[in-house]
Amino acid sequence: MRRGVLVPLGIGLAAGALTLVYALVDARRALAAWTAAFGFVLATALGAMVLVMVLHVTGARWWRVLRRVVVAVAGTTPLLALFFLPIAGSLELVYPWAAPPPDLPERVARALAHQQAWHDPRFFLVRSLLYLATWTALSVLLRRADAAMSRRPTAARAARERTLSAAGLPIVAFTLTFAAFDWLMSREAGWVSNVFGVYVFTSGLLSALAVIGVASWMASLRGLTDGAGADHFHAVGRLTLMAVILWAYIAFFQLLLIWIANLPAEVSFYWARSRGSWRTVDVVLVVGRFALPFVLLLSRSLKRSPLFLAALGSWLVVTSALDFEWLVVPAAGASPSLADAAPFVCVFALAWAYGAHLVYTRGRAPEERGAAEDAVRRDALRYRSP
Amino acid sequence: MGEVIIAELDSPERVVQAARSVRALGYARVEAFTPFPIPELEDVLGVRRTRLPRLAFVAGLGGASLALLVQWWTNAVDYPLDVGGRPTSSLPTDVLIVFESAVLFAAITAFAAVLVGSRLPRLHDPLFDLPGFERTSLDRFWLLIRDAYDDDAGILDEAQALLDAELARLGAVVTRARLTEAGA
Repeated sequence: MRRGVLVPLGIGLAAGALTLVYALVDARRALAAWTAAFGFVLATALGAMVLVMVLHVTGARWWRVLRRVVVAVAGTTPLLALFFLPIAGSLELVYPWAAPPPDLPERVARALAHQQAWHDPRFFLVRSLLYLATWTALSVLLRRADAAMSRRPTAARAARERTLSAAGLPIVAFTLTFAAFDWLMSREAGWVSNVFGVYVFTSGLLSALAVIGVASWMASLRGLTDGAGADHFHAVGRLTLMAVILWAYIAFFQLLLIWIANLPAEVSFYWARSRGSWRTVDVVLVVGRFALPFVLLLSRSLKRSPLFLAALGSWLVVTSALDFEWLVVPAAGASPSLADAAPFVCVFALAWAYGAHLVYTRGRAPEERGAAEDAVRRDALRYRSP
Repeated sequence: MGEVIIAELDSPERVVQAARSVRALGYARVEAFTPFPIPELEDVLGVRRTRLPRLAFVAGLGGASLALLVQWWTNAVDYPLDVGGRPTSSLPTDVLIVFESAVLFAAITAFAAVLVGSRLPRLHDPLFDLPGFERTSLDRFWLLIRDAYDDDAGILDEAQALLDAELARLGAVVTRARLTEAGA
């Protein structure tokens, strides 16, 4: 195996051992952090999958030279089933509806009783299995279509990718929304937000583009990007700016609607996140994940620099993880903790190792063999960013 | 107005090569007229990137500040109204108007700047009178050299001969034309 796979694999396993220690000390708290980390990698992989599908459906050609990287990020989806196992095995420690604490306010207890049928553990696990199976199937199909296309591009293969993506987009939209409700939002007993699924998606899209920024830079250093230049990185930078704005927009409107209605059942979410150390996290998220990247990404010359995109991408990956920590952990009144980094590093590093493996196994040879008749690649190389 | 030299070419690749030659000969005031944008030409002719985004950014900031000021003044100073105990001036609700105003000011400024910058509300240009100019929007590529102009017609002849010799291998047709403001 290559170093690009072995190093993250080693880091992931070491962080996994630390997570295990964490779980032995405080199982409930460690599982909360694990769920947050799971949500982070889930949203990142599916954000990349939606990106791939949209690029197929719109017939974009510029990303052909970065395709290996983008498809690999979406290709990490099958790992999610593995990461879900600890949660599936200890529902009563993760979700308030599985083992309601006795001191719940009456309003929350009523809400939980109302949701009882939906939150039946067996039904919950069947749904979870359905989501994971759907995404795994879609990611394997997309990866196969991509491999066939890179061996020998034909019009029929391109049409197949387009059809698969057009059919897959609504499927991912619905499953991701319901998965976000089931796995992440239901930790917040009695709290409901219609836009939660979209929030998770936009946050994941930003995280996916950040990962793509970092990985593209690393891949271009190793000559794995088939000739990506400043114009292609510019396109990635523009999409990242879009994702920053989209995430901030959704996050702001969820806040505005809840703030302006000012109902006890709804403000509980922000109440828990505006106390203690979470205040610092709030500020870091608003400044570090919106204001700063927004202003920096306005610059054309910065967007065209692969090194800058990689540096900003690394920072955005960290703040994306923090966003999921902020989203998932405070539910049970817990404070942020540095120990939570262990599950995040574990899950992310393992997903990175698998993604790197996918990038490497695509190999170099097929690209060169098919290059002569590959009109799409020729177009991609000629792409000039406006 | 005065005389200019026109080189007519028949393909985008050739017009880029021709522009390179013309620039290499030392001419600086060279314009190109093509049926569609050719990005390479911008580099060759030394077309600078537009400063419009910066102007729009500043205008957006101005619009945002103005919106914030107006809302704060009307809600908190001029006519404070207690609605269900909410604070009279609150950032979350102000953000909507702030955002809209930023977009509005930036967009109007950019639009106006494009009009002014390209001298657009103008119905005629002496160039339009040149025979064959309409084909630059169909299938011909023109290079217009403005600084070959001189009072002495002899220098112009010399320049035309030089350009003709230089661009002949590209199949260029080099002609001279006089631009007159009078028009029709």
